[in-house]
Amino acid sequence: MANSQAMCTSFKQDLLNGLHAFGTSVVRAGTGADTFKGALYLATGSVGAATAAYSATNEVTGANYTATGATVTNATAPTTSGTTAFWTPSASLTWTTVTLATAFDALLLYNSTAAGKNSVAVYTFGSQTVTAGNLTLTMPTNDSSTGLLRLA
Amino acid sequence: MALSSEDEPLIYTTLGNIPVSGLDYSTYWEITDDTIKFTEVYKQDEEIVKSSSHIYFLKPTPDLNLFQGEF
Repeated sequence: MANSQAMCTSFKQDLLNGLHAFGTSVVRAGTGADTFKGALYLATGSVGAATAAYSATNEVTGANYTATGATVTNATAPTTSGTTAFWTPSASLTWTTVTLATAFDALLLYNSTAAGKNSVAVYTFGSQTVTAGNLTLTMPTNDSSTGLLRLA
Repeated sequence: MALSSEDEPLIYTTLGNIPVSGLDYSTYWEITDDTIKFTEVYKQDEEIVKSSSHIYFLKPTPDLNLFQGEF
């Protein structure tokens, strides 16, 4: 078996687990998994790749929606398949009996444990409102091709 | 046991709890490459008094591609 140039798959999983620090190491609260949250943003907002941290600017407001969003259920640790590392929340994100009257179309996933509330990713789903009803964001299949976070 | 009129199912709306039978109910789907969205709408006299959405992420993008440099 010959040597082969590659980025190690285990490294990708380690990134999701916060093991490596090429820069100045951050101070973590502990060795447990961080808490992640999902916040909803108005369609007139501009969250995206340049969004470094959670902000209340352009976050939705309405009955039964709490600013900073909902906590993500994280019962399944990152894993790998083939050369891809992946992670997916282990339950849907839900808001019950909410009224979000101004159109929104984006979810910001961010680290709520980190002091800076650092961003992870933004997901869009088409502009909409909710009236005295429920919003459910059902997570994709947790695998290397559809997981919510995939390091390929 | 038969239901009396007082047992008519109610549903929570912007107008409070009202009989579901008095509302117009409609649904629609939006399907894209990334999501499937199912929306339910209840109307009374053309006014939306309740709506819910259920969104399924099919294959969220973007994924992160890591590139290995060479020397």
